[in-house]
Amino acid sequence: MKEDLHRFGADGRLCGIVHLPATEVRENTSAVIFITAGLIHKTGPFRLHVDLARALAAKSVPSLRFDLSGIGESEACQSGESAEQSAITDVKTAMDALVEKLGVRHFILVGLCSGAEVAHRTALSDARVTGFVAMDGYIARTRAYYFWHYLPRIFSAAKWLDFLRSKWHRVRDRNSATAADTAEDEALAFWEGPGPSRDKLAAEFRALCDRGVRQLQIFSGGSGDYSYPAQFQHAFHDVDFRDLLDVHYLRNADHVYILQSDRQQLIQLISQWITQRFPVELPARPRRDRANSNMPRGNSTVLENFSHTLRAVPLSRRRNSE
Amino acid sequence: MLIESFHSGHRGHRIYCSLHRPSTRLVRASGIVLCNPLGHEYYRTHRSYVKLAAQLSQLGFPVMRFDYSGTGDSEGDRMPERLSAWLDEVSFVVDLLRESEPVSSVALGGIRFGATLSLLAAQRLTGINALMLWDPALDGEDYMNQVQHLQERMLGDLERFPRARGIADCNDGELIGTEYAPILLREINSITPAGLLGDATPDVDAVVVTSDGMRVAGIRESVRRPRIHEHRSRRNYGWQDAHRIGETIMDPEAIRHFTTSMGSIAA
Repeated sequence: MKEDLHRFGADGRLCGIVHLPATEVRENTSAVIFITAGLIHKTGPFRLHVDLARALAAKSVPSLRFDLSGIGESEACQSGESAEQSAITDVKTAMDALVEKLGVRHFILVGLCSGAEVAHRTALSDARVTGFVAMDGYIARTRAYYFWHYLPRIFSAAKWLDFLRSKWHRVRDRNSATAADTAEDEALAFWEGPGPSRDKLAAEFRALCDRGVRQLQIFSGGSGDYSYPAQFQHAFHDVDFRDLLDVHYLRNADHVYILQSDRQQLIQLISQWITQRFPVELPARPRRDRANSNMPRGNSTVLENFSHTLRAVPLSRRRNSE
Repeated sequence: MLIESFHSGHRGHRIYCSLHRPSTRLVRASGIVLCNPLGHEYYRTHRSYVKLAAQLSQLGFPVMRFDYSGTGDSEGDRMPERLSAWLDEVSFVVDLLRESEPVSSVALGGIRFGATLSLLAAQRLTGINALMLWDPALDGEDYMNQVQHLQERMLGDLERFPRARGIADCNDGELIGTEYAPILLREINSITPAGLLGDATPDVDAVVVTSDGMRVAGIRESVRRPRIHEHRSRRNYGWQDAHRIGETIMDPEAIRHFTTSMGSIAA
């Protein structure tokens, strides 16, 4: 395996690291692109992208992790585009760079939080994206969401104490900030704002399914917008995902997978999904029989006492289960 | 391209370095190497390091940032197990800067444990002309106790986890998502303010920033440097606040203090 620093885009303004497997990369191999989340640079939170890229390279999957404009070693965008549009442009530039460097034609995007949103938006606008992994990406709240979100909080003294403490910290920090600091803070908070409506998201998911784009949607217990395993299916009950969707709810994990054990399980989950949904054809090895696949199917629990796995089910069954 | 990133081989690992070349006609004869802090503080401060390096390079300083092996974008899966290995890497990067840029002296600096490593490295190296210390961890045992307490609060933080997690959910030696070798913990615990600020540390200018709520006991009294350029930030970075472990630190006033002070030192 090899890790090469790669500068690409106009005047090499974007900076990334390409992870190459020991085996030859073929034209029909899907390459993975990691999209940075918020202000975190290309390592990902707690080196998540580094570890995942190495795990994938060991399974013959090439990948690129890079800094979006204005993050880490990439230069800030001067085009006047919005932060979101600039990020989408950057990911497309990264795909162009990999086409040129590796000769690949198809891509799987991986992103957490704002990175997941960029993956979704790029997949909508670029046919080279054949799959994406969204961690705490777009979701809509259902009625059941409020029940499962607030029920444990109402009766928990510790939750109330935490809530009051965080309010106090916000007031204290606001008072200690200067005008210059506030301007910087505003620049940092570029991702905050209302997300798309449920109906808009549903239409976008339909468009993605029409194109055959595969999705792995992963939600953590640290996501403030997700509170029970079937929320994704309930929220988008009117979208026929066919067999293109896998949803996992890692209810014990936090938003950035800070604990090593949570991170290791996440890496295993994503690398398994990618290698099984997008198998790499190697000349010396026979293709893996789908019947022998370890990938969980149906309403099974993928990691005991840790997460719940739900595959997309036919519309009629989903409606019945709601 | 003003930031030149590259990997450079050192003892079996390729270390990721980023050189910020001066963007002015005036190129100073003093370079700067910035040393990262450990674990979760690396992620909190990375953006500040990039900004600080960029602004120092605009004043004519060549500035080198780097990731220790097994961290960030460097090769390796585990952090070095001995403090001496970390310091070897600092020394290696100082040499890299001297080889690539025409500098006669080098300043070392960092945030939290990065500042601690700067002080330790300054004791081993020659030609160090200044130190940049941002909330330095001067007492190793006190610092590790703070990290340990932060980990306990983090595991019980119900804004982070839906249900409190326990030490059983962590790997051996894991502290806030990063694994520390037992021998490294022992070595960090043995660091004392007297050892860091004593006779072994060269008599050079020190630029110091301490944030609101930080106790850097006795730094002014202990430092026997010719000049100390101190700034007390009004900001509280929440180093010991479990709710803010993932929060990026950005303090333009502190960065301005470092750049203007370094500009006057090297004038």
